[in-house]
Amino acid sequence: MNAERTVPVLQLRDLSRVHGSGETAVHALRGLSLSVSAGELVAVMGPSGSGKSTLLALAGGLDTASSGEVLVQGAELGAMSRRELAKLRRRSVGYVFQDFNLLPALTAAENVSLPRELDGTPAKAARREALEALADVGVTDVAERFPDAMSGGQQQRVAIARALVGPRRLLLADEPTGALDSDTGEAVLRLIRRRCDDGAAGLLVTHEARHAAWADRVVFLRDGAMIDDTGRVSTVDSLLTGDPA
Amino acid sequence: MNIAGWRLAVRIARREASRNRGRSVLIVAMIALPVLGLTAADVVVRASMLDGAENARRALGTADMGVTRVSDGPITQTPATFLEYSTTGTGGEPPEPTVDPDLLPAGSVTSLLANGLVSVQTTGGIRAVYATTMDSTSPLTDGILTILDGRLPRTPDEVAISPGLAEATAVRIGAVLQFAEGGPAYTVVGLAVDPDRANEDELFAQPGAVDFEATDYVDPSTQTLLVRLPEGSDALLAGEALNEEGIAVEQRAWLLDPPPTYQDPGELALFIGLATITVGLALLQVVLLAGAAFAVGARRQRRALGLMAATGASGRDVGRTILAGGMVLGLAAALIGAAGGLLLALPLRSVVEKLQGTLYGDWHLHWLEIAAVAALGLVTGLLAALVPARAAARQDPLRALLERPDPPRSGRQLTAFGLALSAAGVGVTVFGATLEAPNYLLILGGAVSVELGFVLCAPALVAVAGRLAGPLPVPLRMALRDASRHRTRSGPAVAAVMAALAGCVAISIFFVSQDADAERAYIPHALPGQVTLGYIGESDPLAPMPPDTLTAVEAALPTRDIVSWQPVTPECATPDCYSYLNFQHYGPTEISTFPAAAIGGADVLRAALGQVHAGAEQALADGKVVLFDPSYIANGRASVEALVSDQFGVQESLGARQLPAYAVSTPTTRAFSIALMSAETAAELALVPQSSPTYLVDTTRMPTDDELDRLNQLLQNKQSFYFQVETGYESPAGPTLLALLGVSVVVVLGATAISTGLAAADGRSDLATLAAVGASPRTRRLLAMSQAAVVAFLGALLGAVAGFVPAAAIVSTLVEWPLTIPWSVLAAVLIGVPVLAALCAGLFTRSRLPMIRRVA
Repeated sequence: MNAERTVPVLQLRDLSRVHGSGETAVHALRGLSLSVSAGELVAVMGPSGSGKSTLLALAGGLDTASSGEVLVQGAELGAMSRRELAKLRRRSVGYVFQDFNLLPALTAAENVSLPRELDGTPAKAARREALEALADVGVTDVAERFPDAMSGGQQQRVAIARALVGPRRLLLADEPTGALDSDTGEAVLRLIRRRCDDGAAGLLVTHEARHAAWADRVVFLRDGAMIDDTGRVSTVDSLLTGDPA
Repeated sequence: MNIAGWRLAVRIARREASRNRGRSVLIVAMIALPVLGLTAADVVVRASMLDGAENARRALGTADMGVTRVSDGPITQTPATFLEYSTTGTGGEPPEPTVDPDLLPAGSVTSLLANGLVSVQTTGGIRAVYATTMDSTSPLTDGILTILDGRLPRTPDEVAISPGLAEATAVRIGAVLQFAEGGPAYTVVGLAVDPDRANEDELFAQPGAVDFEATDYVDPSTQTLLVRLPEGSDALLAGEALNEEGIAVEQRAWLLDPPPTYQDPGELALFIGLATITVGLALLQVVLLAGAAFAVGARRQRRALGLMAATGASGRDVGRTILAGGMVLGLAAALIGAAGGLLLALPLRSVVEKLQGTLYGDWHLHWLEIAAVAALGLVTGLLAALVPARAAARQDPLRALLERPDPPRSGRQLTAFGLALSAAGVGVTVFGATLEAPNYLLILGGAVSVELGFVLCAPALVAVAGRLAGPLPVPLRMALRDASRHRTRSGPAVAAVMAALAGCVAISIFFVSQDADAERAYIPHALPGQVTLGYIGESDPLAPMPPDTLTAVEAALPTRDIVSWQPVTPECATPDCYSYLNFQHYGPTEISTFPAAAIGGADVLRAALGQVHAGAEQALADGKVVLFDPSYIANGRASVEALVSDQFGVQESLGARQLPAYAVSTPTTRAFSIALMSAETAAELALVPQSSPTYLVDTTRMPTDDELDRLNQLLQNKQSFYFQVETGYESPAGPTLLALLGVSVVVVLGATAISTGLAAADGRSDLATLAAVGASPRTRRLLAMSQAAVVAFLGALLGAVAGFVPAAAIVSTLVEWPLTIPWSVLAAVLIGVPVLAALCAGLFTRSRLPMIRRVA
């Protein structure tokens, strides 16, 4: 593990998120702290409603914390304007969702070059970067296809290429294999793992223990609180059975 | 400007437009329609505006001037007065209509152009038609007539005829046209028209080939000499010399470069203002409708836009994507509309030319104007996408990703601004209407302000309606609550319905009020079904109608009786004077009739009154004057003054008299004159016949169309006859209101369809829940019907109020109060339109309730 890999790309400090107020208040996250370094892939597990997706939304600046801090590459998100948050997502954070990941009106290459073009990179340069990113994930052949002409696995690979194109180093993946068959899902996870090995920081939300096994660490959430951050993948099954000992 | 951002946005918008072809076509059609109409109108109007060269060609062919003898003394003409002239001599009629060629500069080339009437045998009998004779072989006449087929006549036995005459005579090119009553026959060699009188039945021949019928007067314009001056001649100097001889000159130079005509700046400003408001309101309608369609698109793109935001797009980037959609579709609509308008101009021009009876000139395409109209399309597209773009820019990315609706905004500031705008609009409208000289620009400007204010208030009205939904049945309650919760989509739809119906209500109130005013002022000339028949004796202007004609008329109509009366006036001392009787009127409103008095008997009274009036008949027999308006009588007497007026309008009284009189009241007021008297009384008053007798055909019922056609055919070729049927007041507003309502309904159905479709898309999960709790399949249909009805009704409610304000203001300036409310139109708008919208929504909605899948 080199020095770069010890730098935390994502830091969550005592993070809470409350939806609503008074009697109808729902605590989606309660005082959660977490750090993800470059080269590290962290899996987040927990039952439905445990706050996994909220955690991901807060980490990417799509949602605002009720209290606590989110730092991406050292920058505190709470102090940022909407425009600055958008800039952060263009330059630092990449998302991969379960399905419907790509803009249907854009080709695969255009989807990947989208954050770069939005960031003002000239179209040709953005396309060059996009093609490189597509080559990295092994789907150069679908570069000119529209999403509806691609398989689910190809779409997810393109989404991963888009999530890490350019200088972005934080990959946030929310059930990225949920809509895929098991073989394709494995291939996608292998790809995410490889990108993290290449220096990206990853936060993977998943339901499945075998997917979490690709991570360096697993954190377990229940009712918005982190109940375990063992870093040992072998404990996942016991966590899932509700017996963390 | 972020060019790269726009390029990306346009690319996405273009692809989205292509992916959603149905919606794109709908939006493009909505925006393109006004562009198409305006472009076609611009091109046709420009073609109708002849330039100097075209005017000169039509009036003078290739001649330098057209000269016509108009006076027996010198006249004065200037470019400013053009063909009008003032006489400096005696001002008498010219001794002969022709111009002596010797008066022209030596070496002038001339060609005679003459007009008159000829009688032609048509399929319906003999008809007098207008004829023009000119030498079509002379280069001077080139361009005066437009040849439609064949050629112009070259020899005295040839004629060309207009299409109207060809149809009337059933004579085609190559056939023989027979003049009336054994007159000469001519070979028809072509179809041609005078481009300024294209619908007329006309005939064209070589000079001297036809004999014009004698008329009682000499029209000075019937003979014009086309003149080409010798090289080096000064046309203006030559014209001045001819003016000295009483000859009017139409100079080519004046036609080519006419003096500027005076245009009242106030009128011009009013015209431009009204046109701007009209076009503006039409565009507002399109913006609202297309805006709702863009809102549909933005709603469907919601997750994709959320993904964009997750990828790093700022709110501005997201909004720009929707706005680019407006730009792409607006541009497409502008280009299609402009191109379509240019194509539409071709058939439109033909139709308008046919209606106006005038052929337009060359195409004069003003590209700058066409580009400006097209730019309107682009602006419309951008404006329509503006609100959805703002909403998309402000949407929460996370909610968008999860496809959760954004929480409704209160919009209180917008509503307050809308209310203030409406109130200001009402104030401006009332102010404009109560000015001494009503300012229609202020009235309509205020009306627009009211409408815009209502557009802003529409979401608030929807919210209020949502709160009142409690006691309603489930589908209606759900529809109202749904509309209230999704005001960003229901608001524009309600506003679009409001805008469409406001115009409909306003115009209806205006028409109906004006109609009621016209009906109040309508004076029937006889009892319903009766026919008045006039006749002007050809050789003797006082001669009665030929008995055989009267017999034929009697047979043609459901005649009960035919009565006649003889109009009388005081005797004139000189042939040039006019004489008349003036009865003193003591009432508030006098309706003058000329001539004021007539000789007639009891039969006339019976026919005119529709009943036996013993008192009036006795009075007539006693030598009294019977008047048809009691306001002419004071103390049993009518005061009448005989007046004469010379040709310059100087009046002279021949004396006043108090006559024993009797008044009858009749709904027809008076069919023929103010007063009826016996021949003896007229003689005693020294009154003499003024014209041939007038006849009243008293009928047993209203004549049918066939009977009137027969009467028309009987009299159509006899210029000295005329007739008029009393049908009672006929409202011209009915078909107009129906057409207006039809167009409005189409717009309303469009708006409600968009809104209902969007609500259905939004409410899939609600429908699934309904299915889960056991709602019957027809609930979905009822819900869709309720959604359409809610939007249509709320829009109609606002539209009725928004339409009332300008209508009341304008009507108050034009017709007598009180305002006539078109209840049937209002009922159609407030009840019929929502019901129709609901039925249409029900017709196109599937009953099956969806089972929705869980989205991550």
